[in-house]
Amino acid sequence: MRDPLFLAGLIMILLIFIATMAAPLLAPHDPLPVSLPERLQPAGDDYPLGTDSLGRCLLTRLLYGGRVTLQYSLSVLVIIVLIGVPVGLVAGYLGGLVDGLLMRLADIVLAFPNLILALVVTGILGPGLLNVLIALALVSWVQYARVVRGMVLSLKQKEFVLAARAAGTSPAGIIWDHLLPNVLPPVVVMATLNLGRLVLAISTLSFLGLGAQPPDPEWGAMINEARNYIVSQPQLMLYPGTAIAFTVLGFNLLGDGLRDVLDPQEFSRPWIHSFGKGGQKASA
Amino acid sequence: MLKYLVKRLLTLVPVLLGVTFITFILIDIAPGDPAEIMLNRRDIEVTPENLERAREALGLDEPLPLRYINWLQGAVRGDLGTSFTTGEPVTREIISRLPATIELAAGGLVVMLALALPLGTIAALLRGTVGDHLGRLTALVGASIPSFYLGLLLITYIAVPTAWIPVMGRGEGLIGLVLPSLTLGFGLAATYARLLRANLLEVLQLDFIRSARARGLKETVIIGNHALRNALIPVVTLLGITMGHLLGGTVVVERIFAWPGVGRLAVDAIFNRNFPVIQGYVLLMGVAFVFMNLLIDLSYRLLDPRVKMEEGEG
Repeated sequence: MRDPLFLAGLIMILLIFIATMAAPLLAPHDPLPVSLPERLQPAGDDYPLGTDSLGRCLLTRLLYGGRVTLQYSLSVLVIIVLIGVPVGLVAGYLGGLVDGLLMRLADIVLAFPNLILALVVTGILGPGLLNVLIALALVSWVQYARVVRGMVLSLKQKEFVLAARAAGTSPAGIIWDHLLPNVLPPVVVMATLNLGRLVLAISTLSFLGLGAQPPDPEWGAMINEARNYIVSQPQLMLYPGTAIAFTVLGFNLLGDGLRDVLDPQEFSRPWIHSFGKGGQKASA
Repeated sequence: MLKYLVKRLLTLVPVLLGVTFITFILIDIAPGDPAEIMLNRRDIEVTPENLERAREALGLDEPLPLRYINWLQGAVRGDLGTSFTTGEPVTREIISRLPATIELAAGGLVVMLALALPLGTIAALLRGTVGDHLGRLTALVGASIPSFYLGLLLITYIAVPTAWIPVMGRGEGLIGLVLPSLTLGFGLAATYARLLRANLLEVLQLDFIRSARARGLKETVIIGNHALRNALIPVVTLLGITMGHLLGGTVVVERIFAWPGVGRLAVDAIFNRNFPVIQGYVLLMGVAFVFMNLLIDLSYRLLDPRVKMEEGEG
């Protein structure tokens, strides 16, 4: 783990987590009350980053806004990994009718581009973060199922799987001992990178007005509120925009670093084969 | 190959039926009475009499399966109903907006490929050098900037100060397409370049590359003929998912740049609860996306003979 970029990502994510989770302790003000006389104040002693168009402390709203984004991103991720990976493994290995049915279902779900389905579902159910969560989970699990299935399709042609099959190992045994350990490293990478993408999706929907609703702070929603001031008061969009980019970059650096460490191709074959019994290495 | 194509085209029928049915149910469970919404949008007084007439015009008195079949029959003929707000046929509204979105998506795709293919290949060749690390960092930063933020930054710091690129709308030739395409394609390019690099590196370590080297083939031939072709397999698969990001991205870009495409039409329809337009938009995106995925599956099979053999046996 001597990769400086990976370490940088780890530190960035830790910083963001600590700062946003400790928002009630760190924030100098309350994020919600409007104070029109104090609108668009420059940075000063009382307001470290100044105030927004409704006179609310920008720093406070940044800290609380990040909490919302991170909590919802993590929730969506847990749901989609728990659904997508088992479906992909079973469909890829068993093939036949099971695979056909699952992939037709996947085709239907995938027939809606992610953001568009999320847009339509939240648009119909009514705007709000919970509906955004439902919509994103509904569409995103299929990506995992598809990618895992694709990996299994080529893995099951490999000698060590054929050998296990010839030795009479049950399908469940092959999936658990031989396929899962081999698909897990890419899935960990994917999940880490996916967190970045979920942060982007949630802030994008909030930017469009479908996620977090005013007066609640959320980074994308804050940028939407700043749209009328981008030339005269660019800091109103620069702080939340940079916060989103910083967080996503942190997750991307982590994911990219993990890819180099966990990518099976970078290691000798015997290591993979013995990997079956030692799944904990994936999280090391 | 032809047999496979016919088989795949036949399996598309249930997929498209599924897509349209889901759309239909989603709209049906939506809160609010469509007849009342339509009257409100057209500034017609909501009286029991008008309501009854609107319900009849929309066919709301029929049971759900019958309404779906009616809608389907219309959709097959290209009739998707009329917009609540304008009273225009939905099909005509969508078709008039479609060229703008296709233009934007094509622009975004060109930006993505033009940036990603050379950068990904160079990064793989320069592996471990300063250039590789710089390229990696650039790609990671690029993939981390939300497109709506990038669009606003381009407007604030390039379009407004220089005043030589139109900021809003379409219709000033290709120059107006520059900033929207950049906004759309930039983030996708970063993700893509990284994928390409990782896959190229994987492929370069495979046995057949080593044997090609042992046979004394030139490095350029090895990369061009052997490595790139194999690295393209996963990249092509992921193109299917990227297509979704591309189509979804147009919604955001159209909103920022006041681009008169179907994405903006859809967002407006969502805020107006203009159900026939939402229905038409989802159908359009579903159909477009299903066919793109079919194309990608086909190219995947052309690139990787092993998959073809597998399907042939089953």
